[in-house]
Amino acid sequence: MSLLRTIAPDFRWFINSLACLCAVAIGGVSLPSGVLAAELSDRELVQQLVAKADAGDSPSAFGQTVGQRGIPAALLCAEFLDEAKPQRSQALYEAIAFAAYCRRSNSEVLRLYQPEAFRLFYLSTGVAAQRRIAVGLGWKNWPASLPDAVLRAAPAPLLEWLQTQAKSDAPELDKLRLLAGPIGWWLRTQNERREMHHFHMVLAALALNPAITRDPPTLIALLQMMADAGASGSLAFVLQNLDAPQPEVRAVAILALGQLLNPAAYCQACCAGTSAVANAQVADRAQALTLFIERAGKEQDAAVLTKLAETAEAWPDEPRVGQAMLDLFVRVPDAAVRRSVLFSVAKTRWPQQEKIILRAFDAPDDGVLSVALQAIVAHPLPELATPTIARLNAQKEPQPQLIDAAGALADPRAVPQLLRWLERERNAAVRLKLALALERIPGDESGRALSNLLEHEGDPLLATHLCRIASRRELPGAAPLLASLAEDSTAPMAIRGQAVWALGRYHEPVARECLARLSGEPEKYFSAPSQEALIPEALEQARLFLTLARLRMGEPGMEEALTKTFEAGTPSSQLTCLLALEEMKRDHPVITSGLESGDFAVVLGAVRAAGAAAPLKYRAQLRALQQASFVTALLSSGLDTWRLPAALDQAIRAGDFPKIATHP
Amino acid sequence: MKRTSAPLHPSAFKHGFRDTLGLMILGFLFILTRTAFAHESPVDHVERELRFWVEGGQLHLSYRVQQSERAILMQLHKMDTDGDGMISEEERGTFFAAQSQKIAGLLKLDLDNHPLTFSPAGVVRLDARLGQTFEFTAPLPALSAGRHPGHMLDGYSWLYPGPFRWIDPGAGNQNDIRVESVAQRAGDPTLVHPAWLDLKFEIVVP
Repeated sequence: MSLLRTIAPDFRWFINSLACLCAVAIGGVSLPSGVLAAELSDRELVQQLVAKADAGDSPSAFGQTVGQRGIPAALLCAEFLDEAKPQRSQALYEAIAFAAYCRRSNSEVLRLYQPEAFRLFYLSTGVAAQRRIAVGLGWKNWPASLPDAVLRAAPAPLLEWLQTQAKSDAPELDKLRLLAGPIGWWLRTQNERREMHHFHMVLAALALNPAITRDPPTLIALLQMMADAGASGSLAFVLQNLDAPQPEVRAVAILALGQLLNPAAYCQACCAGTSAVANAQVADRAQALTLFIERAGKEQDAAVLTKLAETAEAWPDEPRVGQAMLDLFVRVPDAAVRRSVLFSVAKTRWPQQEKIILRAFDAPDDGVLSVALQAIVAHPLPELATPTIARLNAQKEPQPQLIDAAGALADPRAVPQLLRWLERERNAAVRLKLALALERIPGDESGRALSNLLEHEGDPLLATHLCRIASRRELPGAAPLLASLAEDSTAPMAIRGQAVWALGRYHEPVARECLARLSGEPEKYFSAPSQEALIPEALEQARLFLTLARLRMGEPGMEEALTKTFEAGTPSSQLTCLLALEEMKRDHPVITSGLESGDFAVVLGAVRAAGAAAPLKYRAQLRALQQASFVTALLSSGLDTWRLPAALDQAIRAGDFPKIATHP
Repeated sequence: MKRTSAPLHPSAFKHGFRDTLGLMILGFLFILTRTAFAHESPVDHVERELRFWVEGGQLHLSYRVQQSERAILMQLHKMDTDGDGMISEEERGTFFAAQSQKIAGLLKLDLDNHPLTFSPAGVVRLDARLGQTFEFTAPLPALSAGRHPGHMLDGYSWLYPGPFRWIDPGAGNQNDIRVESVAQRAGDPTLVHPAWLDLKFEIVVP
């Protein structure tokens, strides 16, 4: 059930997205013949939606079309809401929910691009309109899409309604549970921009109402919302429920505990509150640790223990938690519990990690050893090498986790077996895994094996990766192979580009001569015989990689050449330049230009290059970037940021503590 | 893979940005070898809608680009020159004036084999789908009755690839001067760069 609860909101999002796609695809068909949606006013469109719903149709796709018109259409929808017409209200709330999804956007984005939405959500005059939308909160029966719609379009009345429930002797428990999923999803996915503090307050208020907390299903929903919201102010309430009589409640309370101890949630709460609040939270955290260890020692329910082991990663440096997990691993033979312990071991730095992993070799069944091997990848301790290699040698067929673990341990004793597997294996993905493992193992044997693979590999993707390996690690005899690949006009450009870049690493004459030949006449080497060939693009790519390779080789004049290439390049090629500088750990003026760029990809590349090449030099610029209002907004937006927040943290830390920080 | 022709159907989307994938893949390999996660592209693509018409002796182009939310936030970061987290009218005006000028400079236009120059006209309109609509005009020479072949090469599409749509080509009645699309014939030579949006059109003077 907890799994269902977890995925249900995401599944709903999936269904909504699917319906949206269908709406886009068949929007014209769902309208009366001969009428296109674009030809109708917002009011006409909403009236058609109402007519269809009243006629008994289920106009879900049509509702999405209405929703695409934005907040003006949502406000028109509110005019037609009617408790006596549930099917119509369902369709209208669906359209409202779709239109108001924009509330997740930054306020300045809304002010500039959707002024009606800005007025509705950010100006006092918008509250009256929100109340019109939220009229359904007072109905006896709620349409299914009402929770999403009011959460997105009418947060103020929704929060008021929740406060009313918090004070009520007879709260509407069914409706509270209906709201829990959408609210949890909205908060967990970082969609809330304005009302997070109010949601935290209202959750705390709900927890004070015994009429709510004595009902286990509603209590579970409340705890889940607290976890999703990262409501660390509710930590004390969560702790109370670690001893609840129902295992389902204890399980959710333990998971919530892990969420609330998450550093981000904890810092947010401390920074927002007074010092008294911060002190109280420090005390709560100390109590949380004590209660957690106590619970780990006495809990008997396997499902609860699994959650408990998952939550243990909230204390990544706490030896007492490590000891509790070691004791738990010994005490409980349940494979699910042991796997959870090992998953946490992979993410923590407990001194007991080696002992726990070693015990997994004695009880390997039901996937326990597989997870232990993943933990070895995270912590390749020398003491773990012997049992891992023994297991590797005992396997006839390639095992992905064993391959990864052997690579991480970097022990040359693993090479013969990896080579035996490589000789027989035909699956390109497994071969790539084997090659990447060999790359990490030092020594002549693995180096020669990789050179041999580079010479004979026929799979284009694997060949590209082998060139990347040859670029990261100098392989014996690789230079002539790379030169031959770079000059092979029949090879895909992706392989040739990587071969050219790798050649920059090699100081043998064959590498230097090859780059000189290619640079002297790129038109000759990068032209294709057919008229249909994309010659200019191939040339552009070739010039970029030749410049980067020659810079890497240390040729004079290449610093200026890179500046010119960067200035004339697209965001894609600028990203490539910056990532090459990152790999070389080499400073260059284009990093400053990149940090000042308005393109996400270029900024991402520049941050990584700055962190690798000269973090101290760029520290002030990186800090300014991290603290800039709209960069902060982007980093907390829930949008795909390619781990830019981590890259920024890492680069700044490398500038602050140059000897401690390691690159991500 | 060619992107040289105008759309055969007015509403047909062209996905020519695939052509730039080669370079992007090379760049991504640098990242992916260290971070094996599923991501959308770090390079923000834009979708375009173009509309041409002739009025007052000028060729008009309405050029709408639809941005991703990530790109919009990065633009706001550049716009916010005083760093107060708010976008003033002046900051907005300055940014979009520069943006209009930049795009105008990247649109290479010719008619009857004579170059024409687009200039920004009017304010940039923003819409709820994160669209930005620019308007450009280019003064036309005196045109005799008949068909005048033209050609627009969009350098901005090279920087920011993505699908495009030409809205209402040939719109207008028989007595109006119209701008019609021209389909690329099989066997026509390839263009300067495959990632550039290259539109062929005809101005039809009745």
